[in-house]
Amino acid sequence: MLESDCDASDDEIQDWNVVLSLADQKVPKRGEKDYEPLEGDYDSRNLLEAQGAMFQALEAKKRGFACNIGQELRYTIRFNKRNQSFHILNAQGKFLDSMGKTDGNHKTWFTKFEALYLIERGTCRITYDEDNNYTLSLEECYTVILTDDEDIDKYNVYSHLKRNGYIVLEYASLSIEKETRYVNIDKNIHSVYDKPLFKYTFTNYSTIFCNLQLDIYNRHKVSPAPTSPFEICFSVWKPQVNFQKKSPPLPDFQISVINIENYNFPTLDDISHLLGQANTILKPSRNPVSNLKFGKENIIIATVDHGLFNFIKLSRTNFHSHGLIWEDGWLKRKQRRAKNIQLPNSDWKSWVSTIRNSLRMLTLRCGSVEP
Amino acid sequence: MSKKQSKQYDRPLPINIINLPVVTHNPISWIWCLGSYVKQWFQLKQSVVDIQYCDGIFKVSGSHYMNEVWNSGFIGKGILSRSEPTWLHRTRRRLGLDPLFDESGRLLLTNEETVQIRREERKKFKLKREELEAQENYFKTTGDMTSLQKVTKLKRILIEDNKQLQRKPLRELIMENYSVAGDKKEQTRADSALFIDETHIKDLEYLQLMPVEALFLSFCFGSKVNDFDLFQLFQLCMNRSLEVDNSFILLYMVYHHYKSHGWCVKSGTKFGSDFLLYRRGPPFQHAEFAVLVQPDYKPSDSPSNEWIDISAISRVVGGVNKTLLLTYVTQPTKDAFQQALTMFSESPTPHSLRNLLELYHIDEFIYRRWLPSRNRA
Repeated sequence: MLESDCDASDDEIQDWNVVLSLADQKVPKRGEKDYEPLEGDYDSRNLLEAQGAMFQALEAKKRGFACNIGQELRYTIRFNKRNQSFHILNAQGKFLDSMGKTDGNHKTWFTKFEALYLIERGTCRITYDEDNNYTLSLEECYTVILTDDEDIDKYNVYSHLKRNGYIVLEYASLSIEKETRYVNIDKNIHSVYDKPLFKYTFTNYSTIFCNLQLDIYNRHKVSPAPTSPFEICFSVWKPQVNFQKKSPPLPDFQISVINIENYNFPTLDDISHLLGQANTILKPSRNPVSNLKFGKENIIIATVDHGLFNFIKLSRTNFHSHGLIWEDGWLKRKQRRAKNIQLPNSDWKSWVSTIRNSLRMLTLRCGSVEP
Repeated sequence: MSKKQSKQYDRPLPINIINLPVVTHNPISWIWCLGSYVKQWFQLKQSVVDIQYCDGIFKVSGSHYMNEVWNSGFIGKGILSRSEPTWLHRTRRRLGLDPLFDESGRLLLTNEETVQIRREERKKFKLKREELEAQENYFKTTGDMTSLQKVTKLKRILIEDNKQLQRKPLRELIMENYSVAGDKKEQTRADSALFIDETHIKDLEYLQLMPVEALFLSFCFGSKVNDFDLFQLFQLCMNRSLEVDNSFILLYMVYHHYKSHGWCVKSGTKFGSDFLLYRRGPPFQHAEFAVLVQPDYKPSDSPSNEWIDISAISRVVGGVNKTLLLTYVTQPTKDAFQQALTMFSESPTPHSLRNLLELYHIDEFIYRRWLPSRNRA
């Protein structure tokens, strides 16, 4: 789906009929929205029906990932309080496809967000490294794991993305040198600002537009502020099979988490700093204007306001390197048509065509007479 | 877009050019091309429209001049019209001086009149729909499901028909429903004051320009504003505070930037932004971008919460299917600015204004909302 469709609402109420009817391969149509309650039992009947559907859908047998009995150790995260490290011995499970790092001693190490997420989902239980018998409660985990002020914001964003199916890794600055390209501006053909433009003779508007352009693009590289509070936090990939966490491809998105209580909207330096580090997949479109709209470097900022978060996407674009939007062709097509109407006979071409037509008429006549 | 209209808007800038015919491999076409060039070169006339400045308003008056400015890049706004200055046309038609069709039977409608007719059609449709919805509700409460289905079907047909109607040419619509062509209408007392003689009325409308537009016309195309020179005009636009971060100069940088890349730039106040960018112009398509001009630094004591402001604007802009563009203008140092300004005041030529403007720098960013649930695939 196009990103331009973002504006549609994503917090619709679950229609349980959909879940039910998937069983009999029949997707129901959603009705129109009613704005006021009706008298009679029409509304309550519909509500009851929907409720029934929900209960029925929820009654289905649950399939989860509770740890297999007898294999609890494979799902036990050992927390070392001194090093703030998390690991599982001989870990096993689907979640390892996109989480954790296994070393030579069969220990899989997790970051704190990964560990907390696994605990919160009920996939794993957590104990202290030294004491294998005491399982920490979820509340205890929040206290001992999320120690930094910004951790809770970052964790909220992390778990939200994970629950949406994304693959999320903490951002490690990829040491890939990004090429900086400079677009050379054609030096102006006329120094038009010395003499009024109409003193020159032009044969198309593109040249005039180019002459009007000021030399104000790509001239100096904006040096990113070294101490910007804005940093990239997570690299995010769309859900995919065969994801290689050891050598991941370029991320689809990169996310910076910002608490709007502490920071104002990023300044030009901040944005340049963030975009200077960002390195995501770009899919250039065949439509040049949509390339303008999606830009060359992208960063997603998750703004957190007391636990509520919104995502915004900032992309650097460059109207100058795109060139002119005006096309001389817009005029050409129309003019030709207009010319044909106005001057049908003043053209050598029409002379030729008149002669050719009369010749054809002649041959046709001869042809029709002969037989 | 009718043929007449695209012919009317064949100048994106207030300047005439030589139209060369298509050159092919045929040598005769080269001669034809050369001949056409020479012929048009002799005919080529440039006219510069002058602007009046009074009471803080940049004006162009006179029907001919207004059209000249509007038709060359959609600059300005007719103060008694929606955008294109059409007050004279509309009033003449209202007073029965002009027919609805020209000699060849072509419909002569202004934008405002088109909108009015379409809105009336829309109103009729809404009334019918309301009626059907009332019936629907009635059958819902009585539990008469067969009648409910019938009415719902009728409603669906009505909505389908309306879609067809929206695509129907205005000409047919008017022929069917309106018999207003050239009717002599009632005149009010105020109307009678308009008449100069039997067939002519006074033109009360003028075209108002934004300061950026006035400076653009003057700077690039040599339009005179009263008898100001370029520096005096610049001072006037800057509101006499010649500072490096004057908001006018930031706006002008952005206006000039997009204008010189072929975009049609109009005011964006309607959608909470500074400018709107049209690919070719308002008669051809909707605006693609809404531009918000940003300074490169912010006063630390700014009271407003920018996160909220920009989010609000992005919602408005997104709601009308436009893309929000944040355009940052980087300012030069105060010294560099003062130096260029002194040069400009000594020789108020376009060349020295250009040197001043080229001290600035532009960065552009797209701002859009991002939803995890919509970007998975």
